[in-house]
Amino acid sequence: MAQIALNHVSKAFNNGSIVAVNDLSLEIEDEEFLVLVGPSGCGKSTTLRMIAGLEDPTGGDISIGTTRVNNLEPRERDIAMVFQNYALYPHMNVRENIGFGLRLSTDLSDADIEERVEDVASLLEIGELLDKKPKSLSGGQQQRVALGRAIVRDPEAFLFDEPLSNLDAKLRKQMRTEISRIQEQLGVTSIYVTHDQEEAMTMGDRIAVMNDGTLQQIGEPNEVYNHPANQFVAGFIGSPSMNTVEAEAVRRDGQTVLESVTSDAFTYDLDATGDTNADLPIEVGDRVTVGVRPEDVVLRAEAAAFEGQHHTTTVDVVEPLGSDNLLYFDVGSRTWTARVSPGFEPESGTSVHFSFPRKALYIFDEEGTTVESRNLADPAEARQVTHGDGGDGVVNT
Amino acid sequence: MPTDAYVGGEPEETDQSVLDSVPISFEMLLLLPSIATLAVLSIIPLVVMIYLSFHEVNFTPVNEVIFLGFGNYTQMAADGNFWNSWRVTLFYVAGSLGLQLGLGILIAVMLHRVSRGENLLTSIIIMPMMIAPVVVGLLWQFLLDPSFGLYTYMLNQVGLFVDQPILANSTSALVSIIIMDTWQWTPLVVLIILARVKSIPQHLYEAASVDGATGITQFRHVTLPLLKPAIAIALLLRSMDLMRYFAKVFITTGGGPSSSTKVIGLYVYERALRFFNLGYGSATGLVLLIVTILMGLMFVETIMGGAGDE
Repeated sequence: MAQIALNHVSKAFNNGSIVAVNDLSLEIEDEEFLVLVGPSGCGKSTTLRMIAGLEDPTGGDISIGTTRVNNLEPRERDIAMVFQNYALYPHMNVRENIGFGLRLSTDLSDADIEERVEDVASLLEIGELLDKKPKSLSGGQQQRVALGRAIVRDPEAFLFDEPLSNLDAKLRKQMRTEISRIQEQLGVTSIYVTHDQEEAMTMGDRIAVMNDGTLQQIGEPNEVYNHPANQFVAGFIGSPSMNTVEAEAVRRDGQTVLESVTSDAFTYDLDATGDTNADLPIEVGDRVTVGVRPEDVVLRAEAAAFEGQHHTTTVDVVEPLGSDNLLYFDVGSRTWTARVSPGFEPESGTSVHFSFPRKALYIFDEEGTTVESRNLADPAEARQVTHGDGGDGVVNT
Repeated sequence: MPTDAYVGGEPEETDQSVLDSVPISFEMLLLLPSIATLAVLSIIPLVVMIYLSFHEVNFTPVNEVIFLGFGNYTQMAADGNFWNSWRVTLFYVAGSLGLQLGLGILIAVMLHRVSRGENLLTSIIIMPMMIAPVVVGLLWQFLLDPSFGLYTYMLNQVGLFVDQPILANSTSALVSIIIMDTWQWTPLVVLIILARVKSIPQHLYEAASVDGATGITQFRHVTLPLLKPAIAIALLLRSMDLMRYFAKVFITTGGGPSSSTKVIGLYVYERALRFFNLGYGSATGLVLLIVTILMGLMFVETIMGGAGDE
């Protein structure tokens, strides 16, 4: 087990014309499960491949444990990697696939190798598949074999390169739990690359969000969700994505008001809530982006349900998810989403009213840096903008 | 609770096509031209050959055909020249297959690693394949000519073949014709292997290198096993062709010196079309056909483990 450190690591392709990873510094603690997450082409896979030794960094240092590994071959780094498309050797059966690494890189006797393969197979519940060829296995089974091949070598670190993206949704959730369980059980430092923010949130001890080759934020899942460093992270983490609208701070009737830029569809009076805005670093005239999480948006059929400020809009689409409903509506030129209780299911085209608590507000400056993030001890607090017995959104239409 | 849904009526009958009145199926009709061609070019000659192999046929003014039963075959079993030709063929086929396959795999794997100008290199490498075998024979005869051949000159410079022309020594003549065929047909093996090498996913090599494999162990444990189907195809195509080898030997050595390069194809030709012993020639030709088929089946079965694997 070991810690992994990246120190100002860069990777450029085509003689520097394409920068995949730009000055990335990361430290992964011993036994930690770090998830590298970001959209396609953000450099997360390249980062992982550099740690594995499959790509050479064009700058910076990578160390595993106390060794600088820049000049070491993949086989000398004592790491194990699980690939997106499993990368099982098609001509070997499961037993040979799992034992291959041991056979090549250790002096273990055939009997010892056999014993370790059997142990790992029973840990992964693939004991009865040992004599089958990969092509006769399902995707989920193949991925278990690939995991087994990594586990059996008892390496310093596991590297996962989007291992679940070829699996169907149900299996993916199951394997997600399984990988987390095994990682905890074995206590091996792990780096897990994914483009799926849900996977990142649920699996990582910490998550590192990347975009355009640069690290945007690193932190615990809840911290990244509640206090994103910038607008990119805010939009990327969370599903459905955060609602945003571009606004300008104006002074109206002695109050600071955020007014949407593209149309007059949206104004939000910052002072109306009675909270102090003294420490809010925005001046009148500043252009900002306002963000609200879908679960913080409160929708009601009647305006009277709101005590304070609210806005009127038209429901565009309703998506029932069973546990709750997603409502889509326009604010300015943007489509917003609200997560509401399953009982509230207005027809498309119905006029509704929405608001959100001051504490749920995110504000990003013109560069996209977070100026303020939501400050809800308990997300259910959001409901408190309404009258006490609003029936929690259940409305007769 | 299932309920009865309205499913509508049957579609109306369409008009009968003219084709429906033809006594054979439409598919057979489409196959007829190819069947006819195959019959004329392949099936009829084969039947005639089998018929001839049981007879003694002489090209005389009276065109005699005498039934011999298995006479030709018993004669063959006792024919030292026949067995000699098979011995030569065995050396020749084994030598050529080994060289062509070994070189073919080596060149294909190297070619795959070339990052710049791969297409140009491939085009250059496959050029010998485009030359007619007779021309290849003439070309090599020219290169090995005892008085003005370039290769003879070069070998003479290092003291080899000073006393004797290359094609006049039984060992060097056999080696020469093996090299000629290898020169011409290794490119085919390269193409077959290269196509397969390119289809091996890169992530297998990455997985192997993380698992601890070096370049050589990767080749041994990943590349080579995955090349097996392609190797079987190359073996199959080349062995069938090599069994029928004729043109280059006919042009360069004519089977000599003293039958040392008289491969079975040349032997069959001589019996049938030089000595005009059509019956005996057909019998030897039939044996050649059966041996070729058996060998092909063996390659498919042992290497591919039956057709369609992987």
